[in-house]
Amino acid sequence: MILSQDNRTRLAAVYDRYADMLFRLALSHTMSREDAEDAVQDVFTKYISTSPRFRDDEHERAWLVRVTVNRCHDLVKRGKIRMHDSLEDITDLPSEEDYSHGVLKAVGELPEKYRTAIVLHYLEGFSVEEISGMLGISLSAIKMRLSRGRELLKNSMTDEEENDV
Amino acid sequence: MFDEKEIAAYRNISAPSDLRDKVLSSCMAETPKRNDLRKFTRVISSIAACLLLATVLTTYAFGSYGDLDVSVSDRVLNEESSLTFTTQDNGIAVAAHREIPVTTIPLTFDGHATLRVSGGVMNVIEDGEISYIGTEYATDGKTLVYWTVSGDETSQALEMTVIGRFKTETIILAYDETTAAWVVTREQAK
Repeated sequence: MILSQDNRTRLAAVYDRYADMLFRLALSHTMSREDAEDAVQDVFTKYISTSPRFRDDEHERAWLVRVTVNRCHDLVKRGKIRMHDSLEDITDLPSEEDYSHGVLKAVGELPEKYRTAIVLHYLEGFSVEEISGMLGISLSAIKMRLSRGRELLKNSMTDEEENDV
Repeated sequence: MFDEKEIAAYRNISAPSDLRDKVLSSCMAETPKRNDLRKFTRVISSIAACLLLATVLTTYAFGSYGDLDVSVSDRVLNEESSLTFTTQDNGIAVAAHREIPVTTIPLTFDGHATLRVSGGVMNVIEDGEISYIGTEYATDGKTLVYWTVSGDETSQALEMTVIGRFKTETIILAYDETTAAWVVTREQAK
């Protein structure tokens, strides 16, 4: 059995629409381009194999985000992430000159549950309500995670600045 | 939190260009197999469930948990039917008493039922021995019952009420003088 032309077209459209965002999300969790690629590939494989039915685009996006986060979580949990001794050793991230490197480094140091909320809200621009729907977590829990994540980020940045001085 | 440059830089990160082809080709090559396997597994599971259900229902309907099988001297007595029985049919009986012989009717029940006779007495045989003598007995599986009727009791039809799991039937025993045979009739209880 081969994917029908319709399914292929649909998959390509969904990929074009969400792949970059999902890749960044996966990258922020795995800190490895290869692992992020694997995670995204797994997500789309699951998308086709399970053929979930969506109410609307938001529902579809929420599903993709949730599956990506879960997949990354599984990879980390099972130790399948290509481990690096430290963030400094990561060579496949964007270059040091790139601002994104600092961003990824900062969020990469956050615990996973704060990281997801911070990335989706401050970097991807989703509202608290949208994130709540995507992750299936209450609004207050998302707000708490954002608050706690912000606090940790500030502390981390302050420590770094002090170390630089 | 993050300044605009950082956010813009972050959003500039995009999936590798070759990932698109990888995703599309892997989904074309692998996923349908998984789909097929999943569908196959689902179909097999459904068939297995249906077979199991059919087996259970069949057992329940026709086996020891369903309708009762009754036979008289190894001849099947179907529902709503009759058969005749003479003393010659009975290997273990019988002595003559007055003009009508005393008779023992060997009935075999296969199933669960409560038997109650309006006349005569039931002798339940287990392992070749009489395990019960009386007028009411609950069968459990295959049971051989000798329904013994004396000459005094045969001037009118005798009844055995068979209360099964789903229905109640009556086995009527009547002596036909013209043929000198017992007529055993199985019918729904009225």
